[in-house]
Amino acid sequence: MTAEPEAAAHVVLDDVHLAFAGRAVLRGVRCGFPRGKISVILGGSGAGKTTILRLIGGLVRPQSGRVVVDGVDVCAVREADLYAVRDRIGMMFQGGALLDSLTVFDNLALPLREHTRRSEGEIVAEVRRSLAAVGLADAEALLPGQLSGGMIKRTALARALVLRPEILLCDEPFSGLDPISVKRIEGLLCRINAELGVTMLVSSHHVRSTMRMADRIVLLVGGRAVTGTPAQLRASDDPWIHEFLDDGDAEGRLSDDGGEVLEPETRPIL
Amino acid sequence: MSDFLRRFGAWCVAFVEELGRITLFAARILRAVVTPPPRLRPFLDEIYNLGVLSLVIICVCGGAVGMVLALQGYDTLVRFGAEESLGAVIGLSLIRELGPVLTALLTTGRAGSATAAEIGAMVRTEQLDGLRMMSIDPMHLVVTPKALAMIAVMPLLSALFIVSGLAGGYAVGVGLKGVDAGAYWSSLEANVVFRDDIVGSFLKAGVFGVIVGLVSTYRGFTCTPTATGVSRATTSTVVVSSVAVLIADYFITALWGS
Repeated sequence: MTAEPEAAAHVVLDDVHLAFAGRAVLRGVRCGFPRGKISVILGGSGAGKTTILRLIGGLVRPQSGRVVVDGVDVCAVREADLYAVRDRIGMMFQGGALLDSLTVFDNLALPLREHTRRSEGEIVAEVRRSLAAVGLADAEALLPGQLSGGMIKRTALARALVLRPEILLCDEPFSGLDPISVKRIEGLLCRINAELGVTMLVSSHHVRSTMRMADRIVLLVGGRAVTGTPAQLRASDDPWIHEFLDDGDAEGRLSDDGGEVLEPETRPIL
Repeated sequence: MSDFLRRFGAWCVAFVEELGRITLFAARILRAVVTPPPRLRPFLDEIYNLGVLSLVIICVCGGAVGMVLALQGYDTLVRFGAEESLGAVIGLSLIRELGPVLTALLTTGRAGSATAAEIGAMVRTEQLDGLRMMSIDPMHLVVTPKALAMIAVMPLLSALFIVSGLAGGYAVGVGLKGVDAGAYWSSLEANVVFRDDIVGSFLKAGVFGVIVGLVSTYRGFTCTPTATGVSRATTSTVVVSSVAVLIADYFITALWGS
């Protein structure tokens, strides 16, 4: 296990400090997220999981330290210049962040219309392909207010991927979902990573899913990060880590009836 | 005493800082206006939301104000035997003052608060952050069309309010009180001066549109992302816009009249 960022990582946090209203959330976080792998940021409520994703997207800035995305320190560039970095990032927000005045179709079509020169026919085809990939082919005319929690997550995932980002940030993709939906989202994320090679950063407190899907885990403890593979964290001597992982497993057993990943579709993703 | 001065000084500093922030916000809107691509579709949608959906309330309120002016004006004018001037009294009252001011206050309550609440809800549900992460500037796509639409619809709604008021005044003055119809319109035509009255009225409505558009979008955009924060943004939009409209009305009247 390590608390140091790797030099070859796609995304690096280097000695990041951040406090909200005087309360320190991140106290010198150092970690790296390898290219093309699934990294899960694990931690209790208020540990700073979402904050790390927002730091990487440039939505908040740290009091000190560096957040390097593909070689660019997002803390050192102006807001206007951040868009060039964000073009390489897709973000799935915890609540979806879908524009509630637009239909599911228009939510996915918006980034395509804004950033590509594709014809309307090509956009329609791309949006329908993306919606089919997440199992929402029949939901394109619905408004976000008419969707279930799982459908919102999947729509948000499809929108985050529609421009083929190099990095995908997923904020609590399993929160508030039933076990079947959890496995469906988990399966989707694993297939997206396997087939598209996207660097994936997932914030979660769902320990069982994390252990199944993560190539690397960043565990936030007391404002600092402990990094390792699932096996390395399991082998840790730290009692807090054991307690967190064991309690998480126990919680998972109550809400989750199996270890296998449910695959929603068999055809290639996107 | 020193405590009072300290608090007053802190309030003054906070007020000036807020003015600075809202000025910078206005500059960002101006920059978004000249930044391609033009947001014609969202702008037209907002014209509909802010303007077309306000037509009924503007017509009803304008008509009611005109009818009250006719009742009050007739009773006063008849004492001096000047009831033939009823059209001029109602017209000048509406065109110079009541039309733009009451339209601005009504629009603040209906459309300004809705604008602040909508943008505030988008802040709260991370929709604006979602746009940022898609490399879409929310100032460009969301805020600027709403602010521009408010500026565009205010003079038009004010004109409609005035016309409705004249119609309401006609109904009561001519229909109920028996004022001569020709005298009603001819006194209005004879006393309304294009530059002083009509242009001044549109100028006021335009300035009020800027105030309401700017305050409502700023309050929504900068609200705390909680239910209480959105509620406060909505309330403060109505209060700040209304007070600012009335203060601006005084200065425009004083400067334009002189």
